[in-house]
Amino acid sequence: MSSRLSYYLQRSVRFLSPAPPVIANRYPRLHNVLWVTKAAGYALLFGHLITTYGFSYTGTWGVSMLPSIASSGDFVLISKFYRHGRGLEVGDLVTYKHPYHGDQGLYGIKRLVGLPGDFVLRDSPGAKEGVMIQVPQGHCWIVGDNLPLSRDSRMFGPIPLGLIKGKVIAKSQLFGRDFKWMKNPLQDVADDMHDEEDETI
Amino acid sequence: MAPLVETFHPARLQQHIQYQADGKVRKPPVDLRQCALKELIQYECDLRGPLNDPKSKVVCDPVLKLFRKCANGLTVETTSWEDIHDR
Repeated sequence: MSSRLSYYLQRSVRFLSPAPPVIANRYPRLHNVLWVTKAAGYALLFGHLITTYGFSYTGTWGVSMLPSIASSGDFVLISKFYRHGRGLEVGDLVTYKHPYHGDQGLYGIKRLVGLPGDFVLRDSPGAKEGVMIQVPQGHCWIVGDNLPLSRDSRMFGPIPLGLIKGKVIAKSQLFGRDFKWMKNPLQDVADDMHDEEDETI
Repeated sequence: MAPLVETFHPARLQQHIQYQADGKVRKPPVDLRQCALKELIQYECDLRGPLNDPKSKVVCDPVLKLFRKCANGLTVETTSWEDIHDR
């Protein structure tokens, strides 16, 4: 074996074998502190990963989503797989970073009424001029369930899909009491309504 | 700021839905009457009775919104259009 090859072999073997635990042997208390710090750091990192890309469970407040979500005391389970509007459908409940107060950490929950290219009423049904708009590319239209007491797209216009952070998939009270999966309320029109239409025509 | 968008009267909806968000013409053309009719109920909730009275209750009146869901994934709110499209 050439001398150079054996040199590299030795180096790599030294690299592969673990170094003697200097800190653990000489400063056991420091070693413990370091270990706890590292574990806390990993916990924070994984917590952030999970709440950004996985799921989060958080309390809500405000009257804009009555009666779907109570004005206080309701908790929601949010799936972040739907962030940036991925896989969403009209009628879903979405969480979004507030377009004006998002840097202060304000997030909202509203109902998704229009995706890019869809057409929506600009105001509540029967209010103002009753004009319609097309939701622009990369944007969506969100409206609270409690129409008179909700500040939403009717006020600040379509919001970028990048502000959509997730979809509300369930709600409950504190500690999971009264746990309920959310259903998309966009339904086929009931049959009796079709009958009425037929009679008038 | 949200981008500026054109507003139009619901009677012109059938003409406007022929265009995608990027301004291109939809092919094949969409006929709203052929799309599935859907409904979404939202609410007008308010406190009935005086403020700070424990007997006062929050009452929600339903507000019906109608939608048409077309085959190519287009969803159109037709709450106003349903009443006027025959004229």
